[in-house]
Amino acid sequence: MTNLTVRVNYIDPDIAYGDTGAGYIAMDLTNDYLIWTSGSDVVDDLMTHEPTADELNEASTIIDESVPVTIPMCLLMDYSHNVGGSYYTHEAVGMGENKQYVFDFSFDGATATEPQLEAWDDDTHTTASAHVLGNGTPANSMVKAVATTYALPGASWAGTPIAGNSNVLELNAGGGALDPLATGEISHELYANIKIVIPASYPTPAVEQFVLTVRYTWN
Amino acid sequence: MNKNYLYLIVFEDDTQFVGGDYMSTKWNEIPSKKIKRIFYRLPGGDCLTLSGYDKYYHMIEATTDLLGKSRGQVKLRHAYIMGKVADKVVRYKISLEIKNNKGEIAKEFFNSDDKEITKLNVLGWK
Repeated sequence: MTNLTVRVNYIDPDIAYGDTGAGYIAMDLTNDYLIWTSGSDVVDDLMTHEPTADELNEASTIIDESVPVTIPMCLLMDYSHNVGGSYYTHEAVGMGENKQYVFDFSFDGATATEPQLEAWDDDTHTTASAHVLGNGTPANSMVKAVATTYALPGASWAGTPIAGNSNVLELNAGGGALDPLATGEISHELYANIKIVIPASYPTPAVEQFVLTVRYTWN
Repeated sequence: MNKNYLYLIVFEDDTQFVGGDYMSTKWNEIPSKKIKRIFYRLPGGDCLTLSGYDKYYHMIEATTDLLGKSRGQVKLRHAYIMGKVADKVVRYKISLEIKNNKGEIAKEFFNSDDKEITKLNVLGWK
């Protein structure tokens, strides 16, 4: 079996995992989660408590009548709060920007096919109809993702709207399955940037959860 | 076949190789010898037999959710066992999910140049 570790860059999105000066937090996938938010005086980087639902609602992004709005901040809610002090939240630096090393998907071995990132309504992986996922039209998903292992995404990158199994992000940028690790290598690092863009004048305000999923295979 | 094995391979020279399980399949430990027959154990205990192919391929498909109530769990979704002869591939897709007709098999046919086949890691063909 090939194992997956997901890390969030909280220091410098120009530095790859393992390089000098890198700062990544490995997600405890059972307890940690990601929050996309506009932030507020309370909801911010380096919180000393887990944000409440009310606090998150107050930090919601406002729909703009005229222009699309990219939710400006992604926070990792770190249940263990043991990084850099007793902080529960760490900003995913570079999220949405022209930055290469934001989210790290690390595989400790070969895969039989190219790993891919998906978005679903819930853990049944049967529907992707939430408003944030395009309200039934996957191409309209507000969740945009781009594979950045080999290059910067570019200024104002559009990304792939991910929703369901028809709109997915190939995490190796279309480069195919991951080969066995070379001598001395302990993992393959695949990087991506993920943002949420709310269309102008979107008619339905909502607070929604969705499921980000990594699908992968091994021989 | 001992029900603890995921698969049993019989080579042309009549030697055998015993596979592992879904998490540790041992597929990449298969000796580089011509395969005569594969006995593949299905979730219900029955056995699928493949023979007469030039090459064989096996993979397990899993997902891990980053968000949602099942986040962090590695969920096995499907097992695939395939046989290739000339430019044709037969693929058996076996559901491993209890909630999704576990053990249900879909038999599908592809050409070797179909994307479903070309996307496979070539090192996995035995």
